[in-house]
This record gives sequence, structure tokens and C-alpha cells, in this order.
Amino acid sequence: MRKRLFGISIFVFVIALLYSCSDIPMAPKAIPKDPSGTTKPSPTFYSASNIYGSIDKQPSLVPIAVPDAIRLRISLPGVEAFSPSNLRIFENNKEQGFLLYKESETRNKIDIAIILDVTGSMSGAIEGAKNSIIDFADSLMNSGMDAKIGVIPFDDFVNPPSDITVDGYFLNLTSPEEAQEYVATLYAWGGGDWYENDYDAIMFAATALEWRPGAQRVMIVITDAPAHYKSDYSGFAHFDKSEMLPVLMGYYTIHEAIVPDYSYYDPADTDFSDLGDLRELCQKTGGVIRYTDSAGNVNLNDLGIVEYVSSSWIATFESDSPAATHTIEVFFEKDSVKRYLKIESISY
Amino acid sequence: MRKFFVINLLALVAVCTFSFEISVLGGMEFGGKNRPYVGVRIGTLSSGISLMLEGYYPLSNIEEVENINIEDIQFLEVDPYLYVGIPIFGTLIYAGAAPIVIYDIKNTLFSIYQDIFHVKAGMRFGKGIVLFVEGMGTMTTAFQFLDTYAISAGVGIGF
Repeated sequence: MRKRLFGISIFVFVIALLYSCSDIPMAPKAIPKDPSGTTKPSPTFYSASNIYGSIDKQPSLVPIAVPDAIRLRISLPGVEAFSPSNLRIFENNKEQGFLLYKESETRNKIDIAIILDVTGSMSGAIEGAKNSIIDFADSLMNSGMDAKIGVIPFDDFVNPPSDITVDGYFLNLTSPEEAQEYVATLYAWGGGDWYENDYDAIMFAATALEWRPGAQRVMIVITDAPAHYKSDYSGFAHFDKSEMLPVLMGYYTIHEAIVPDYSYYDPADTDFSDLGDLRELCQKTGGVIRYTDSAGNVNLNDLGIVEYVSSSWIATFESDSPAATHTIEVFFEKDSVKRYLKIESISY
Repeated sequence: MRKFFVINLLALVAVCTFSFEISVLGGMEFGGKNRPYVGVRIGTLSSGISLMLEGYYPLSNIEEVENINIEDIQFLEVDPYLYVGIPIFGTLIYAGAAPIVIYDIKNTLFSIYQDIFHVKAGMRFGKGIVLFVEGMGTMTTAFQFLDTYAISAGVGIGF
């Protein structure tokens, strides 16, 4: 009997030890059943701006005998708090029961790759990034986040860029202070043709940086140039968007600070499907597109990313649909604020 | 180091009791993704209170059993069960519960689900070579069952 009690004591100790090591970002409580007999509101009365979303595909194991929950990330900048009753989610036109978590409360690590065009026209952006990195990181930390920042400079090439000499071809994820020091060593020069190699830089960030397990993975692309792509046969880029999206969607959120060039990056655009238009990556990963002033001055704090992160929520629901791809619609309504998000052709 | 520590503690638990069992098992989910799964369990299942450490690896389909590459496995479910067993005519009837722990092999991280746990009931037959069947469910800490269940069967050695 004494041995049994000893064994049980050790068992309890092991459980306590494991619990202290716990890092589960979202504990799946019982997901409410789907509402029945409801009708979908008309999107006409909702605004499609200031609401972003993507399916979170960060790798995890669904335990045995636990329903597989789909994790939908929804960001509502400017909305600090709301209740599930303010939100309605439809999968393929069928309303879903869901659980709601504030992402920063369950996943407080955030890794940010700043992917920085260092060609001649980008001196304002480099200076702005350097001057605002610390404030930006402080703002994230003040909102409860543990932030690390990496930097990928690029022009037509990446690791290293070809037109400038850099001490360190890129900076792996590290402290904001080291990121600031690294950006201070960068300068704007050269560029050659109009297009730059944004796509290789993004894929390099995705594959080469040491992203922390369980951290939110964010990229901020700062550029004024459209992207080279593999099928432009320039020989610079190794990827087309169609190859990148399966790697990026659900795993990374790509935000963009774009210096507007009205012959290509017109802020009035809504169709981003051109092969060199990197805004489609941003749109499909649920990120924010911001246009700088025409001089390219960038302040990371003004991009809305802190607000994006601090107003980011995870809604988990059980999928009812056997289809290969799905359409998710989100209706948010609180007081006079009504927002609508539609995500099409997504796979889980 | 943490892994080494945990394994040693569990081995110590096993040695502290006289009966010991190691088994392999296979099973099927009913509900959710309807996944088949394979697993192993090791511990001290016997009458009274006992402990088992059980590892599960879900598969996408049954054919995958033949193509499991150990090096490709990133996550395992590892559940430390606390059982109560009652012997009846040479058969052990048991029931138990365990927290749900996910082991991230690649990053050497343990994660524990904080609001749900597994419950299980089963029957074990034989001595030396043992056979067992059992049903598993998942409960919330508010003691509500989730809608997904699983049934396992397995074989092992007991001594």
C-alpha cells in the first residue's frame, strides 16, 4: 500500500510538472452546437473594411476523441472587447456554433520579420523603420506580447541583396534593440529594373528564420516595387504566388507598407491578381495593406499592426462540410459598428 | 533534460509496483475526423488503483499504418492514466481518467489541455499474454462529454 501511495504521489508530481510546462494556446472547451433555423444577414448593410481573417493552420495534433476544431483568426482593429453574441460565422452558408478566444491572451509570443526593400528609393522607409522599431516593439509588449524581430533586406536578390554591402545578410529573430542596430547599418542604393524580388524575400523569411513554436508569425513587407515572379523569366525570382500561397496561408500573416506608385500600386485598386502584385499575399493571409506617403516615410506604429494584434481573436468551430474548399463569412455587429468578412476557396 | 527526467520518474513509478504491462493497440474514432490510430501503453494496470502511460498517434486512414515513418512524426498524444480496476472471474474491469498531453517531438515541448480530459473504461483478459478492449471519451472540466468517442483493442504482455 505504501508503494502504491508513493507511486501515486509521483504520478501527481509528474502531472504538476507537465502542467507547469504547458503551452497549449487554445484549450478546446466544448464547442456550442450550431444554431438551427437562422438566416444569413445581407452583407449590404455591413462594411467590408477594418476586418481581417484567415484560417490558422499552425501545426498541432488533435487528440484522440476530440472533435477537430477549425481555428478562424479574426482581427477587428479598434474593437477591444466584444462577446460571441456580436459575431456570427457561416461556413458554406450554414451558421456555426463557435468558441471565442482573444489571441493575445492565449498566444502571447509574436515573431515579426521585417522584409525591407533596400533599393535607391527606399531611404525614407529604412530611416522610418529604424526610428520606429523600438516604439513598435514597446507597443506590442505593452499590449502583453513577447516580441522578437528579424530583418530581411532585399533588392533583386536576397541573402544577400546585391546592390548594398551588409554586415550580416539578414537578421534572425532577436530583440528589438538588435533589430534597430541592424536596420541602422542598412542603406538605400541601386535597384536596376523596376521590379524587385519580394517573393524570394518572403519565402526566405518563411523558411530560414527560427520562428518560435506557438508564436504568432507576422511578416511586414516594406516596398515600393512590384515583385519579380518565377514565370516572368527574368531569372531573379524562384516562386510564383500560386506556389507561395499554400506555404503561407494559415501559417503567416503578411502585412504590407507600400509606397504608392500610381502606375502600379494605386490605393484605389481592389484587384490584386496580377502576378507581380504582392498585395494578394497580404489579402489572402489576412494581413493589413497600408500605403505610406509618396516620400515613403514609414512609421511601424502607424501601420495598425499593434491594433491588429491586440484586436485579434480566434473563433473555433467544427466544420460540417465535406467539401474540399470552403467559404467562410463573418458578420460583426456591436452598437453602430457593422463589419463583414468573406473568405473564399479556403481549405483546412 | 526534461524528457529524461520524466521518463526516469515514470520508470520509477513502474518499478514501485509489482505488476507490469506493456501493450500495443489500435483503434478508431467515432465522430470528429473518424481517424484510426495506433498506440502503446506501459504501466501497472491491476486491481485497485494503478497507473498507465499511454501514447497515441492518429492516422489519416488505415492504409497509413503500413507507411508510418517514425522520423516524420512531429506530435504524439501522451496520456498518463489513473485507473481503478476490479477483477471478476479472471477478467479485469477497469475505468480511468487522464489529462491530455501533447508532446511536440521536434521542439521537445509538452502541452497539456487545460479544460478537457479523457475518460476510459475497458476489459482486460488473460495473464502473461493479455488482450483488452476499451472505450474512450472526452469530458470537459464541467463534466460534459464531447461528441466524439473512440474504441481501442490491443494485445500485450503482463508480468
